[in-house]
Amino acid sequence: MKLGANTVLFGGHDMETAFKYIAMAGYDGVEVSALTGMSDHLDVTRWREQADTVKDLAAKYELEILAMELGRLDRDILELAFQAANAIGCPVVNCGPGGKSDDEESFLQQMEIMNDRARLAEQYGVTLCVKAHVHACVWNTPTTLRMIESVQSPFFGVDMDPSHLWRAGEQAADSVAAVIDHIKHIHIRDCPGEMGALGRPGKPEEQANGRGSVDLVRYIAALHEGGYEGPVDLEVIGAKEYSVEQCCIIAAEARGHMQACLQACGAR
Amino acid sequence: MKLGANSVLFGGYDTETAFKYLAMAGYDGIEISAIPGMSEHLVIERWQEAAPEIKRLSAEYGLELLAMEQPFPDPAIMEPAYQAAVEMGIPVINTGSRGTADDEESFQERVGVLAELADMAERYGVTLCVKAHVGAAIHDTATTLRAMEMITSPAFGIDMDPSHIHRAFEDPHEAIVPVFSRVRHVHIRDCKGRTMGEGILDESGNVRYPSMAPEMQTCGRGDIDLVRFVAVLHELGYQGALNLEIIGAKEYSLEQCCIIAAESRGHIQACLQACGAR
Repeated sequence: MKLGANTVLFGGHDMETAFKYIAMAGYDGVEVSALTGMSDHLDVTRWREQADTVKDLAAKYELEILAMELGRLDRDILELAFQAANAIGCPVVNCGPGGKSDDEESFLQQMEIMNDRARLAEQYGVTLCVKAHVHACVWNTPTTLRMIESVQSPFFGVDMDPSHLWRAGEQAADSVAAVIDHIKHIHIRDCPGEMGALGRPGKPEEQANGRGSVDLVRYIAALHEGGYEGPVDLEVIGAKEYSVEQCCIIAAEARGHMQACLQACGAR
Repeated sequence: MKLGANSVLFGGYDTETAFKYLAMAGYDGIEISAIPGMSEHLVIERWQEAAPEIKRLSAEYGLELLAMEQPFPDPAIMEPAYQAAVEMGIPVINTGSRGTADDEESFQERVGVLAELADMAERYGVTLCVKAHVGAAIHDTATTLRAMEMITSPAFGIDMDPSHIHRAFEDPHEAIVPVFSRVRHVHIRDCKGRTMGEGILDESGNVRYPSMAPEMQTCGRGDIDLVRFVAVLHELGYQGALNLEIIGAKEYSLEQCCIIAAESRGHIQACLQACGAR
């Protein structure tokens, strides 16, 4: 597995700051945030101006570009993201599923959209990954399995995020086996509180791996046992106002935790 | 186990900076550095001035004062260190044996001094801990066991440091077992290689990070099986302090120090979770 971090953690700072400290924390790679409002790192509407900068930073800090996160499935924006990903050598673009939980019409509508976007991804040779997300049409393992059945493209995959599954009432380690063949990306973070409480993800420091309630030791072991070898990108939301030192601490603490998890299960 | 870090990691910064960022990194406590030349957090000659501020910082940042490191096993320096510890409620003072490895005369002389210091610690109600240290009179498990036998005071304990045991060509998760009965403190860090010449090499074969560069001491970055070491500590029932001790970062940026502290805490936290200790 390759460990990376989404630059959105450093959303209040410029892109080079994110690359610099993610590298210093020992990550293998980076997920470039194109989440407007949460960061100003990659604006896909201006990707041609920014592509060289992203590639230069990746080379300078020796970070592999593991993924990009856009968040939205809007066709025009997503096509720009796929173009940008193709240009910077980014293999995966992560999006949320959109729609509403427990609403069949919404689910079917989103599946139609995902099928179209997967075909679009194929044109650019990148993989679109979607995760179960609290309150969205795909929000737990049963709906993830339905999504896998509905969107059958080699350019489509599951982005498995244990923090959203925890909030949906699942211990992610127990859900890995059901979806492992379709996982092409992992978003990782911890989550405080009770399992199944569909509330907020916690303060950024509470999302640092090891601080919350998710059994990430067993989750990473399950991924390793399942043969997963792709990217595992830390995604911490809400730290835009945090100091560089606070962001560094969250990034480093999470990487240290993941490193020990990998060592404990024999993956490193 | 209580997780702490020695403030010497932030040796280029003031005491409050060390407290602030160690608390932010999630540590339970702190080991106060009284190591001259590496930090000015506690200058033993002026401990009466520093003690109230250290107690205030401990309360403000919610960090328990787990230990103090005062490296000189010299009665004239150690007595005020004990007085400072008593005043601040610090239970453990860590020191080194000094002396020379594989020199019987030096060993006997050093153990004699440590026995005297242990008796003094007993009078002050604190515990003096000594670790096996590369190049010193006590430098491996065999010399640690001899010291344990010769120093009978209950105020004498072993400070187990896997990075020094690793460099004595021993496996720390095995070496902890015979000395465990007297372990009263654990210093923890990682280590790349077993000799000074090792480390991370670049493509040309040049040393990019020396084996003991501060970042290579970060838990999880080196060669020591800390997952097993922490698991064995847990199996043996250790419930004392586990303090990260990173040497050499005095010139490092604040961000670098924060990263080393946080990455290590995340690693140890996962080690504890993996063995069921948390």
